[in-house]
Amino acid sequence: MKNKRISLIVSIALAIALLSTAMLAPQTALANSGGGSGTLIADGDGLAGIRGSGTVSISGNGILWIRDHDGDASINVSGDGIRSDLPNGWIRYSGFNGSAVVSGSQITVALSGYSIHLKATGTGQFVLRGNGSYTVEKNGIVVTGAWTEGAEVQSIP
Amino acid sequence: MASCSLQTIPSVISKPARSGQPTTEILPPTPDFSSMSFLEKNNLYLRLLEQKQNAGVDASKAEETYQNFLEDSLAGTSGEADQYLQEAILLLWY
Repeated sequence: MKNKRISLIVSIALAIALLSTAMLAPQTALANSGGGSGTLIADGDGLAGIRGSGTVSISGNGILWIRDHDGDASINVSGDGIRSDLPNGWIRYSGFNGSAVVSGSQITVALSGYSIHLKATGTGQFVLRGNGSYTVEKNGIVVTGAWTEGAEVQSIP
Repeated sequence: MASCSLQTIPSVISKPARSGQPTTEILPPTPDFSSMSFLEKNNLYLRLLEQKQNAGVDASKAEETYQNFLEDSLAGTSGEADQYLQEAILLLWY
């Protein structure tokens, strides 16, 4: 009788474990799939850089870098800064203090400095070095994290 | 902006004087990169760049080097990126 009761309890526990795995598995796959689009929001000091497809809004102080890889980007920059169009395709704003909104199918946007606020929607990869925090969201799944000492490439979504 | 650490022992070099007698020239201390965080190094670069540009000094070589740092950072290669960052700082240091 006692053995039957233990077997029943183990069976129920296994069933619960299997159900939990089945329920969680699609969410994990979705978060790691890289498909669709997501949203990144980051605040901090150091270096914030992102490349991919979508729209990037960024503000802060320092040096702003923009690169339009496919030639279809919409670039709107406001504030102070000295613009340099570099031969390798980069646009650099030295002494930057302002904001920028960049959209395109293959863009890179980076700001090195302080009081950086970044919001990006789309797909791509980002690096956040220094001190700060971020959230990445896709379909209700939110991942939070901190800026890193080294250059760690992460993906949206 | 964060402060940076400096080596306490200055570098000393010798160079021949016009008279043929060696003299010593004391160079300013260099940053102790090993004790600095990424943020401290990056802030140091930005501060030095601003100082040089305000003084009308050509900083284009340092800016080119810093671009290599940026590209390597975006590629996730921290080691190479940080070497470029330190090199960019030293280009502005003296």
